[in-house]
Amino acid sequence: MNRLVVASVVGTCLASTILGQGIARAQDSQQDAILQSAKTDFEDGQILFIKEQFDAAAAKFLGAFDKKPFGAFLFNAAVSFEKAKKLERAIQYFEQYIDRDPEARDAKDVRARVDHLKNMLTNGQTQQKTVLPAIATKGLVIIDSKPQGASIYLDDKTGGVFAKTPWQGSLEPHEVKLLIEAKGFKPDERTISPRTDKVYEVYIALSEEHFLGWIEVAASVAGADVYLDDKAKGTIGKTPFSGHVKPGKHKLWVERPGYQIATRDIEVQPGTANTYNVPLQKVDNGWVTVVGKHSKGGKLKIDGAEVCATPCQHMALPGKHKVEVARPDSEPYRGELDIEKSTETSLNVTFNPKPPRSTAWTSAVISAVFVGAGTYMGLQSSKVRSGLKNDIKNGLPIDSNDPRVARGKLWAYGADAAFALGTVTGLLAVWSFLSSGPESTADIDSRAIGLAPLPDGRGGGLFAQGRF
Amino acid sequence: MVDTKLIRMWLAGATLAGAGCDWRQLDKAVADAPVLSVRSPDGYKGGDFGRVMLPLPAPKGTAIAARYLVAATNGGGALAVVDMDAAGAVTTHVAPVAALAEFIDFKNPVKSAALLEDGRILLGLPNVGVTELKPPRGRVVYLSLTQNGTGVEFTLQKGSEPADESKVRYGLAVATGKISGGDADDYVVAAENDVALVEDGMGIRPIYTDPKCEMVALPDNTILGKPEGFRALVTGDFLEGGGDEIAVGVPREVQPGRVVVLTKIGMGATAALACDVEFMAPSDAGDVARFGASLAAADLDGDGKKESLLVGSPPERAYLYKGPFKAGAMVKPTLVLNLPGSSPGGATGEFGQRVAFADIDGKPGQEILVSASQLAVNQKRFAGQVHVFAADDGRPLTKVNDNSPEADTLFGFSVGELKFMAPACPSGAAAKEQRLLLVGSKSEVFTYFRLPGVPVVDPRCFALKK
Repeated sequence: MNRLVVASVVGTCLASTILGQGIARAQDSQQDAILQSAKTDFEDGQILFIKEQFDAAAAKFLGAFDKKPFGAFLFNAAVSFEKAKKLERAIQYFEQYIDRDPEARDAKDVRARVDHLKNMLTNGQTQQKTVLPAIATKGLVIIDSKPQGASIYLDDKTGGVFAKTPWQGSLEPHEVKLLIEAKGFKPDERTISPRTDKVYEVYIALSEEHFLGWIEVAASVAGADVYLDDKAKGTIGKTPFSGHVKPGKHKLWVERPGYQIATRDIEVQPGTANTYNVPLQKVDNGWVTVVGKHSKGGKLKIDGAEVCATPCQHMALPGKHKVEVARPDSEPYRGELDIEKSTETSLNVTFNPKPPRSTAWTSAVISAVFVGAGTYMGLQSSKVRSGLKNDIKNGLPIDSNDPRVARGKLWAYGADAAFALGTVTGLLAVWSFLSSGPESTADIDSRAIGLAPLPDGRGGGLFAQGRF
Repeated sequence: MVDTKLIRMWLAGATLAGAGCDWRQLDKAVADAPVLSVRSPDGYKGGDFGRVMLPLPAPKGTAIAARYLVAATNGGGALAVVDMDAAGAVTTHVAPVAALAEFIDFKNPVKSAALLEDGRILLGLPNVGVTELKPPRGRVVYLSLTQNGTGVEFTLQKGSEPADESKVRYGLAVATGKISGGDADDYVVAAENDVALVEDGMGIRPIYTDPKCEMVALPDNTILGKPEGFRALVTGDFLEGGGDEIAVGVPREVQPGRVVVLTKIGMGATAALACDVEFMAPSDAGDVARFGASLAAADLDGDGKKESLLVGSPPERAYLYKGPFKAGAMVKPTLVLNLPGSSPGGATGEFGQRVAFADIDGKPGQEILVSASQLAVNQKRFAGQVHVFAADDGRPLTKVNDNSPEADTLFGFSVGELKFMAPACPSGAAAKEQRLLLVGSKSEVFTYFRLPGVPVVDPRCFALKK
């Protein structure tokens, strides 16, 4: 009896368990059948759309939506109605599409299209003209995971988290690698090639991962580069960052232009999740940047010290600095800059050429020739004079009008004239050497180091990148 | 380590070059040159400056130590007086054109000059009266110099003229002396074909030579192909008897030249110049046609009378005839002077063209000066040279020429003796009278304060101070 009771209980329990599992399996199987039916309708709709049987295509898309309420089905139905010239219904389903997914990356374009279609209806224009951009149906990518709520990355983690599972939407029709990570689970990846005429299903069941640690790195400024252990290997991602890390001691760097580099020594335990909040402090210095292709080959001097070869950037302490940008063939730019903290001051120098030194060199050479000639003639005059004096001393009958007197005087006159001309041309040479052209000028632009949104080009979301 | 040698050399070079820029140093260098050369100053329009040169006594009561007259001979018509102070500094006074205008101009230059005892200067102007149809008759004028502070005033007065048209180029030569025996100087004027005595104290009335004396000479004494228009004429007591006689050179073209000693004979309207003595070159001499081209008279025996005669006979010789001479006697030269160092047939450069006596060796007694103005010196054609001989034995004492000779300058075209007497030296040194050699060339006059090879004291004050 007891054995029967126990066996009955156990059997009941087993039956219940098996029954429960069978019900779950039945529900999953039913869901799969519905999804498969929706996919069939979607693909039939695509075929009809290609055959330009737009009404029938729209019906298929709506049928698919009834089975699986994916926004892409509504969008494709709206496109089919627009192609079938049924603008009111097209507007209806475009609007339903936006209502379901107001943050869709093409929401702005769809709203504009709806407004235009409405205008066409109001003005009685039923013929679509070229004023509307071309439009086509879109494919569908369904990404799910076990467990759900895993982070989806596209290609790599540098772009940050793309979405959380489950996710459905459209992706650009080219190959993309999906990285799926969930806390406490081993990350997985899958490469897919989405198409506009297909429903692409991705399901990844993540296995639990206990030997790795999980870190989350947040900074006071988003978009800072995160380095781990070796900066030479490059960044592992941007803040906010999360990911698995081998257990043990690590060194963490968080950097962002305009901010002081923050470092943190961390120790990760296997199977643990660790959150690190890293405050970033604005740097105490500013920068002087010399830009422009004409600055090539020059030197930047700050407070008299040569700091870099232009074009270049150099860090400077806040305050007033004397700045000089010099290029060999041009007049230097000189100015005083008030450098502010965390501010980049750009100099775009317009160089004025130095005046040619040919005149100076010519004058110098002529001066040297004159001085040389003057010296020679002066020595000749002295020689004549000495000769006369010696002859007189030696008792020779030198007369007061000895032709050497006139000749010596001519040498002396020549020496005086040559020295005078040498002095004049020498002064001209010095003046020419010291003369300079108009000083070079510079356009000065000061701006704080900040963030600027940049389009990623790989899907929705916001990509933040520091930029000078 | 600084190369001090290089720096010293550079400094020395710079100092020399700097000193060489001061042209005044050249004047200082030759300030005590032993030879003073004077050239024509501004305002002197003459083409030459040393062909007619007459030493003059320095005016008393002035700072002038020596003075001489120069005149342009070749058409310039210029006249100047050169004064020298105790330091040998020269001031040249050029006669204003206005002062000369009546008598002297570019057509009538001075060809001869002589000093009268009363201080007046005789100037011979042989070209006066020249026309296309008639030869020039010539004239003699008086020049008086008046000292006016540091300046000199020139005053000209009409002198004598030839009595008739037969006398040609009257004034080729002039000489002064006491020919008539009176107190005042008479003067003698040579023309191309005659000689006239003017008894100045008796009024201007020329007395001419006896036509038998044949006074027609080679008048132009051609130099460098150009007729220069000079003739030799001196006075002296050549014949024993008291009064001065006239010695006239009569050079010729072909025939042997002569020197004739003229004596005044007769009185009043019958007065004439008679040729009592005649000097001829020795028969064994070579080219003697121009014997008598130049003459000089001197007192060699110390009796105060010029009894000896020096005769130039270019192109080769000069002859000294020591007097006094006896009328009608055959006279032989005491000394025959040749160009020292010349070889037979060699160039002699017109040796004997000019002759003079001068006491310039610092010892008592006269020396003989003979010029060879066309002698080449240092390969310079016609540069010229003057030779100094001892008068007692004719030995060469020295020779001078332009220390920087130039061609065609004719050094020695005129020679003479200049008396230099510094009135007072600033240093208090005792002033010393010195006779200096004066040599004229084509355009320059040289005064020799020292002579090469002759121990003469430089009489300039700065030299005396030393």
